[in-house]
Amino acid sequence: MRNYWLGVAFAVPLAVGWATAPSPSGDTAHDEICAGGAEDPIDVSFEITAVDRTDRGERLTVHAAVHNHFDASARTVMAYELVDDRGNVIVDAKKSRVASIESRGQRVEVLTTPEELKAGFYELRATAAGIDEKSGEDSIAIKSMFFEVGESGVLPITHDEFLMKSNANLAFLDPSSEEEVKR
Amino acid sequence: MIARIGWLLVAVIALPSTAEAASGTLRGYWQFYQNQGNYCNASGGQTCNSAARYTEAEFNTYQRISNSKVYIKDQNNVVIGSGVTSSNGYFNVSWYRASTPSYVRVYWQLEHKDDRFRVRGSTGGTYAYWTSTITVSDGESKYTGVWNVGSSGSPSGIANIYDGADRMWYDALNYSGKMQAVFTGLEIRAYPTDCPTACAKGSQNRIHMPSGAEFRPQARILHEMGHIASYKSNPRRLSTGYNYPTESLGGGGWSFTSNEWRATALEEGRATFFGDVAFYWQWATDPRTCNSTGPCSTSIESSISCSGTVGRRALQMDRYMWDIYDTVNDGETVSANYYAFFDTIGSIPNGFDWGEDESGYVNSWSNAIDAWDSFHPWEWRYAMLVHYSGAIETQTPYFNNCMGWF
Repeated sequence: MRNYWLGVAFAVPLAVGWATAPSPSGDTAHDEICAGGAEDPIDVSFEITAVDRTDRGERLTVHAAVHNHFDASARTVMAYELVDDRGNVIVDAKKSRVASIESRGQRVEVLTTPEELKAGFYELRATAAGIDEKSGEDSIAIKSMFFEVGESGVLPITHDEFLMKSNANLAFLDPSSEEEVKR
Repeated sequence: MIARIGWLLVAVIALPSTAEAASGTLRGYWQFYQNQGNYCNASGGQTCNSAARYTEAEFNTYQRISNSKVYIKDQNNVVIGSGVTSSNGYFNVSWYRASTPSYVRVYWQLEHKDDRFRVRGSTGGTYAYWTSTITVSDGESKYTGVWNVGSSGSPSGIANIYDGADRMWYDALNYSGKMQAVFTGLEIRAYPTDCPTACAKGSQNRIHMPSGAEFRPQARILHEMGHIASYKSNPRRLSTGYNYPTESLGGGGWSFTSNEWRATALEEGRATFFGDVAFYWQWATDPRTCNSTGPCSTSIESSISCSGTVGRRALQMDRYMWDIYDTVNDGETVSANYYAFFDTIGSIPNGFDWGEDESGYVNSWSNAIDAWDSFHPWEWRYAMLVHYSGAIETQTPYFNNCMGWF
């Protein structure tokens, strides 16, 4: 068994594509002021906890955590699915049970990818929904992680790498578009 | 005149033969799979009149990629033609080459046609979608079809970010003369990991969109473009610190209903308001905002009882701004044009005293702060009344929205 962490695997910066945008000017004090957008009331994070090799290939074990940032407990549910770089569903959406998470708490679902995946590029996408049990406010979060299956096994990759190396960039020709129609 | 034409004819005859050059035209459409939340949710009971700019009917359907650059590249990946899509995603682009290429592709690189904004990779590299190979011949005008980016099974996050930015420009910022003059060249990066929610870097003219931000437009791309518009109206330090009463420039972790320094709540609420206008115009009766990839349950118009420190919330600042803007009479009749907000920011004098644009700070050369709540909403009320040439009194919506409770 090999173990490594998502944070390490994703830490390698990569340039993407066919041109490089002009380098902007350096940071100034102005940039220190923006602490970022509002915190997601419901959020999802991924952590790869193991890569296991079996007779049929490698599989990832991923801890998908749903975080509740509401000020009160929240009823939450999560669904996840696996698609390839052309949007084909490899593993149908699976739904977790509904469960309550206390404020600032989290729940973790353990996901494993199939071992028989053929060489290619994949997106694991999780959708979590939560309702603040005090105010009734709701929020939905969608988060994706990407990985490549090759001769050396399963390798987590960034979104940049996913777009650069896979066929995700190839547009789909609408099947109803053979005849030109004025719109 | 005749002599000049004669000279031109001679010049043409003298040119080397260009008989081997090839050219043609490609036509078609670009679309993307719309997956952004925050649409006006009529089936969920929301009132969606003509002021709602993004409706449920668009959600989870293919929508046009409008006002964007497209390129034609040959088999060597060399650009041999360029043009733009129209408002309905249509392109009609000519190509030229020394000889007929063995095939071409049409590229969409997520760049606004007038360079208002572009979506780039996490370190600034160019993103692109392209068509499958298209065979062409010299002199041919060819219809290529409708090209879809993303699908219901895998919506493109960056295409959705592009659409959010496009809406922010055409349905909101474009209505400000000041923004038409200064809002250009914005780079939106997806998905750097340095900012866990999203960040607007004013002096770098850049937005960082983390993974997970792509389908929650009002809290992310619209909001961050609101910060950029705020900065471009008057380059300055936008706020003080987060997490009242902690006196620190760091922080974060704020929400629409968290207690913040009033300067910060004002800047965050106002940036949200700037984006709200891309989805709801002045006569909306049920405008909403939220931080979610789904439809919003939080009404901008809801009133709350004034108690405690509710005047420190970004949501209340958003409501204060909305009431200044809207034409719906809900206890006040103020209705300022959208451009008045940017013109007001631009009219605030530079300086560090009360009512000046960096009134929270001691001076320009350090981040020392002597008034953590400044620039606060009462200074904003003063600026709209005194500095802005339109002289708008906003005292009634100020107090209606509990701005005095801090």
